[in-house]
Amino acid sequence: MTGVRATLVAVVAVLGCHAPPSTTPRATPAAPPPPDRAFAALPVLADEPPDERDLFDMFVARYVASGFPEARDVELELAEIAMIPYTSRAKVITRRFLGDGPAVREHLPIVSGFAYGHRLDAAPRDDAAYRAFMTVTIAHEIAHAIAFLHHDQDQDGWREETRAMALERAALHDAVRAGALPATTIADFDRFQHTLLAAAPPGLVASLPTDPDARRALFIAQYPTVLAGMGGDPSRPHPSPAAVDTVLALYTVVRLELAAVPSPSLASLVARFKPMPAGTP
Amino acid sequence: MTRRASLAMALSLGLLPLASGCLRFQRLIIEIDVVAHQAAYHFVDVATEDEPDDDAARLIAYAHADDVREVTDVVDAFWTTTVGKRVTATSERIDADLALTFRHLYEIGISSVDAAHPYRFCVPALLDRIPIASTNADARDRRGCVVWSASARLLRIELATTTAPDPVLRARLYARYRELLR
Repeated sequence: MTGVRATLVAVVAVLGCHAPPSTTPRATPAAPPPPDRAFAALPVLADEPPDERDLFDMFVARYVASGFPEARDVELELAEIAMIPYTSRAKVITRRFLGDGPAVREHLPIVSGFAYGHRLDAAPRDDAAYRAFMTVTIAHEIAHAIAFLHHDQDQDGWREETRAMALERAALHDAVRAGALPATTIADFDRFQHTLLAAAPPGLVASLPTDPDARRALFIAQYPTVLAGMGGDPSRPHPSPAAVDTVLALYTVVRLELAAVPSPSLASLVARFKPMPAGTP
Repeated sequence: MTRRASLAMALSLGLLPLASGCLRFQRLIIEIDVVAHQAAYHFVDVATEDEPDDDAARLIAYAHADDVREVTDVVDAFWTTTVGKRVTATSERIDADLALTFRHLYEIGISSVDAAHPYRFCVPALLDRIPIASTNADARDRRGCVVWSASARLLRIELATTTAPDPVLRARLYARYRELLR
């Protein structure tokens, strides 16, 4: 489906004409809702806890300080949606994972079902590790967004992902060095990778190729299947659990390999990107 | 991310699709019943931001022609269920209504602050030029989102611009849409 087509379908979904609603879902509250007020008349919420947008802003600042001023153009969409963060048109969409809101409490089970074939359902609960993982995914997605802005998204999905993983790692270390994240975040993040490894089917990790070309070929062969199987409805059977396991194990193995070697500075990775296209504001 | 997944994301955020192409609107009223799990969107004066293209006209025509098979396939595969759609189009104005049910608030872009403030609405980034005009929310946060307390049942938000669509562009969009209906 082309982008235009997808947009079209999406808009039709909103505007699609059917018979007039037979049951207009207007609320029938027990008590009348409060009257509307102008936005400016609303009081500002006191003691608002930090949320994911603070982490996003922090990573954008780290990328900018490291030589990616275009990171300022990356936008964040925040939702309590059970979906892997992704970028589109230099936009990062991430889901809530901080705080004690109702969706946050059911976050991990939804993510487990959505992206991990429920393999995390039985994993030992480790909130710090999970939060660290989600925190770093924001840096990962900003990396993809920067690649988009540079017109430097690698059509080879494996190279694109491994580059984003190198950048996320560098951004994590950079944020810790700058005091923007607790030093324990690195260990928390790595611990979650071990949780993922432990949740993988027995023998899978050992069976993965170590040769870079073989890994790339395996990833490229399985990745489309995994993407096609992603969905938000847990009642939908996943079409290929084996492919999901393989792809996610490849991510995890690469992340652990990156953890085992000194991380290059975020600034040093700037040179790996194409220059911004001429005429880019 | 697959197109389908990104589409699901767009749908789940409710408002994003309309602004992801060239379409804009002058006013949008959203009513969400958090107990009944129902939401209603009333778009007023849908128009194009610049010269209307065939995609814009075609989508209105598709809507009018009830050509929603593919949409239904997609929508039903994910979270929200559309229960009512209506387009009212004249050369003066194109309005649209959408009514849907949902299972989780995150499907329609409602997030939370904390347990005491479980409902928060932020204008999606793609709609950031359309401010919140009025709402029955209890407060706003430091980012410009609006929040409700746990006692809220009906969440109401009105987004509105002060700029009316260009009448020439609107008329062209309507004319092209009528052509496509033939």
